[in-house]
Amino acid sequence: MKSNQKYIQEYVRVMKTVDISDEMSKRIIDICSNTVVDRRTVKTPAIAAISCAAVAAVAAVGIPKIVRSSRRK
Amino acid sequence: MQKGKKNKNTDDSAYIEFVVEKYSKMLFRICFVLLCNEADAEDAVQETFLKYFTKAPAFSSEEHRKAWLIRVATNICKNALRFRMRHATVDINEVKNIGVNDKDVGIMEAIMELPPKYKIVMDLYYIEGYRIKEISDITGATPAAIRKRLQYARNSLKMEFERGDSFEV
Repeated sequence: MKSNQKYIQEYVRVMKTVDISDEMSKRIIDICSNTVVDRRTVKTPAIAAISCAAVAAVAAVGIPKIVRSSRRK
Repeated sequence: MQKGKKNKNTDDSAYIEFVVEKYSKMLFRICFVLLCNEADAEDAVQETFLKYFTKAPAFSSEEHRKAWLIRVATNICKNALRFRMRHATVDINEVKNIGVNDKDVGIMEAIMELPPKYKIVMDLYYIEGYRIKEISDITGATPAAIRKRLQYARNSLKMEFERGDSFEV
């Protein structure tokens, strides 16, 4: 172990110099921020309205035929 | 991890900035040693954070969050390596673009020559300061395997350094 100590020290010294660029950090922050915002907007009224319409349609018409026929089998 | 629970702060851009600033360097280093390529490493880090913020898992502690990020990043890198094995070649010359001093390029190349499973163990043990048991939990390997990998990694590193004449006392 001790004989490897100098190599380990060099390894640690060099590895600690590895760093992500500032531009990339900013880009990741931007991308993540936009992604989270997008997810939020997707959940807003548009989807809720479509879901409600689908439920209402099923309630009015009944279970679609294709589902009924498969259940009978 | 408490799946299903959403972190309330996730929507906050200040929170995103805080997490990215705190862990990006560590994740980039791990991805870089595994992928040996700056651009791929950046992509892997970005994907890791995207996964984190879209899934938004809740953690019991900061260490728990860190371990999750490391695990996800290493899995993404493994997938990338698997893809690369089938589709492309590795260009190790990329290390010169990473901002490493000219005199350290040889050492970095020697480090890159180590197999991925040794590199991740070396990084977690010597750079991040994890204990063998903790590394075992993160990587899924047994503590005995981690100890052995560390031993092999140290010996391999010594051989690589000596073979490449990159190390001068």
